Amino acid sequence: MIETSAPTPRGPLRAALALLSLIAAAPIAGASSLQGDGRPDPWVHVQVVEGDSAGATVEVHLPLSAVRLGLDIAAKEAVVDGRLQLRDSDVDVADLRRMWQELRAAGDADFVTVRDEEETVLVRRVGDRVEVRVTDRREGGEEVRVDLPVPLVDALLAGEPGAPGSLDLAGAIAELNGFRGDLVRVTEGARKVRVWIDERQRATSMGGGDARPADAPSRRLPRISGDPA
Amino acid sequence: MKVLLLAAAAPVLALSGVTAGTGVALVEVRDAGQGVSFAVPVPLLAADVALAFVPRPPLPDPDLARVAPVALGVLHELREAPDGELVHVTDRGETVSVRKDGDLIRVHVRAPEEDVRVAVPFEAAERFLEGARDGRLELRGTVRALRGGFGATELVHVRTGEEEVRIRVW
Repeated sequence: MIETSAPTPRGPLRAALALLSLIAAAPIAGASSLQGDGRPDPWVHVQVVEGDSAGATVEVHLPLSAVRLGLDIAAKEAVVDGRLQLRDSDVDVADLRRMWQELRAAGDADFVTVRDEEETVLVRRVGDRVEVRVTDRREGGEEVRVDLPVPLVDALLAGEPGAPGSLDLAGAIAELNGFRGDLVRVTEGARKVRVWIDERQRATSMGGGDARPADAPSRRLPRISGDPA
Repeated sequence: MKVLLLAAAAPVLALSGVTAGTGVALVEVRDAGQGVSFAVPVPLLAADVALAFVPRPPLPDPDLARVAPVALGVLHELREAPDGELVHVTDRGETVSVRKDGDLIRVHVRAPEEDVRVAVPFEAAERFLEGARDGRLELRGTVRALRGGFGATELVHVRTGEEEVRIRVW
């Protein structure tokens, strides 16, 4: 009986192979852009279609992590430490917070129902979501669908003893990490607005950015070391 | 004779090699209407050295220093994100597209009479914003980020009617 065995790398060779494996795996791990829980990073998509003769459309596709950081620029005056200050607003956050606590305890229920000849407004909780539905039945009237995850509203209205008049915007955005689907849909005649979250980056819809074929590998530049002083 | 020619050409070839190896920007301007066309090669090493003697000027807009740290964070997040289109705007025959392509951010503005393409390396933008964070206009670091290492790249290409301007780096 003849026994055979594959040569087993030992010592420095084994260490070198392990190191090479790690180096080879690193770009793959980086490219997958996974969250800590193993899910791909969420992307926020905003699409506005004016539906007019000019055919105006706006699309924005950003990683949620970038949106969170970008808020510091967009709302620097209103946000302090991730909290939206509403002291001068007509909205009393403390009242809003109390109202939410009561509504939350009620479980699944219709919170607001307004029906008249022209319009229906409905605010209700269904499972883990707060749904807002507005339907204007007049010609060209708008239709609004807003779906807010309950944990998001919880985080947004999380009270801080030292900041009773603030909303925790950063906390709310952190809750969106686990949310996938439509957040807002507004239709008004031909005009449409949609905000949604998924795990996909948008494919380029405008060709001709460069001469590189679409399936060519990404251009990766070596990082420049050293302080330019 | 051949030896003399080779000896004479060696410094020129060596200088060309060093220049090419350390990055060159080529600025090309064409105006078909006026019949004007010229190209100016700019060795980035020379620009780097020259900028070493220029004091870093303050920012033209002080607000940039306030937003620079956050903008750096956003850039970092985008740099790690997969390639694709980030912004797409269409209005009255004009289209604006911003997309991430490897280590570049590409902006493409297309209009009936105008076509503008700009490619900004993340590294250059980061260097610029790092300077802005300190309240300074970081030109040298930005130029350094363009030097070599990423092959031929078209940074700017503007076509307006019969005029055309291109800036490419190697």
